[in-house]
Amino acid sequence: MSSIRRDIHTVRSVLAVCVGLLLCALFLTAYSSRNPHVARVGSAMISELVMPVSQAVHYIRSTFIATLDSYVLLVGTEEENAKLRAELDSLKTNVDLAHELEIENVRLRNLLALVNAHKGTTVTAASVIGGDPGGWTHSIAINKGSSAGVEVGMGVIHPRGVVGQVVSVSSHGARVLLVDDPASSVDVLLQESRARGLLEGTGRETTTMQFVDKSQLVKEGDRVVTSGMDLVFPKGMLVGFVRKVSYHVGDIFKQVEVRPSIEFSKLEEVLVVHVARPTASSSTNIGQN
Amino acid sequence: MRYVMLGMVAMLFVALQTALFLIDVPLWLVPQCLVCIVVFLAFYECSFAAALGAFCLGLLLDIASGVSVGPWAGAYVFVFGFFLLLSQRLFIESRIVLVIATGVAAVMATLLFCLFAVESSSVGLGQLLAQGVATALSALIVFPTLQRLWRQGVADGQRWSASVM
Repeated sequence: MSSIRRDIHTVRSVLAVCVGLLLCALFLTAYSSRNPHVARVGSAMISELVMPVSQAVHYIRSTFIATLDSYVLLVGTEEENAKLRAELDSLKTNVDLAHELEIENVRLRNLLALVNAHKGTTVTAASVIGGDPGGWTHSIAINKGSSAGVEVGMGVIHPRGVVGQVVSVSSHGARVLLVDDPASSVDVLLQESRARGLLEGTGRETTTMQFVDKSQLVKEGDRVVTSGMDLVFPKGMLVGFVRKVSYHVGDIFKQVEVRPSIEFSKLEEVLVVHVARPTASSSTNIGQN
Repeated sequence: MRYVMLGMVAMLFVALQTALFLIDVPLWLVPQCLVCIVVFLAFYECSFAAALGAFCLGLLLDIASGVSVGPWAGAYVFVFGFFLLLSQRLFIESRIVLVIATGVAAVMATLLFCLFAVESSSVGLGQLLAQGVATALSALIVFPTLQRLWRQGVADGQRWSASVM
């Protein structure tokens, strides 16, 4: 392009045209100043043509500003977020605690109802603090021991039924053998037929009621309750429900399979019964525990 | 073909200059990209068509502004003529010369616009120079683009002529 040699005549001609155009422009300026509507002719069309670009720029600008604003707003959000999360966790814990307290309240009300149902019976409320360490025996550990008046041989009950019997005691704890342990036996009777028997654990989910006379009418679903004759449990405490009854010709007793009324793995609070001790205080110890 | 392309580029520049207003850029910092085209035409195209092109570019800006018709057209034609004469004495392949010439052209065009326009807003010297600098800097991008388009337009025109003949 630099090699373009311009003829002086051509340049002059073009300049002459430029002068003409300049005059034309001046004329247009003067005319449009008197007739402003002339200036608006075509302006709308130009505006329409440039509109897409304006819109694109507007979109980019809006997006950019929105992103920038979001970023600026995000400054400090992390800290606030962490604070709110901590607060939320705290509130969740409080809600869980309140819910747990509500459930515990219901359980303790049931325990109290049980105590009221057996007035004159001294009981000590205890919390279950562990299961069997070895896993071979069906027992639980409770947080009340000899210091709370708990002794070996005492019965342990729950609003839903009989739990077991205390087999060992320390000053601040005791171990309870559950009724489903093979080493456990409880004097029981069938609530309807009043047939007596001895409930023995099997080490499985069910227990067996021994020594039920073959003449006794026993059917599935019958309630099995304590007889109170062993001086360990109050009379009439629910132990379980008859699950299966069998009888072999020639046998003296019926074989009664009993499903305990309690799911031992879900025990949390229990009552240690002092009925076997006629000299024990007649007041309940629930309030103290 | 070349002038059609220049017209499209000019429309794009007008659109961009209009759109820059949206992003809160001060008007005196918006480069006069059309002045770059005028200077380009003055330097590289000595013809009636180029003079008419400069006039039309000004007219386009006038119509786009919608206030009055003529001031920008007159200013651009004047600038075109001035730099057409000057191009005989300048080494126009130098980038620095192009940049300075474009900056001067922008200042000159604005002054002429203010002179021609019946109702023009007052322009401060600082703002005038700032826009001159912005336009000069924009020339660094605009000129190479225009040169490429111009060469391509020349080639396309020659091919088209050959095919017609």
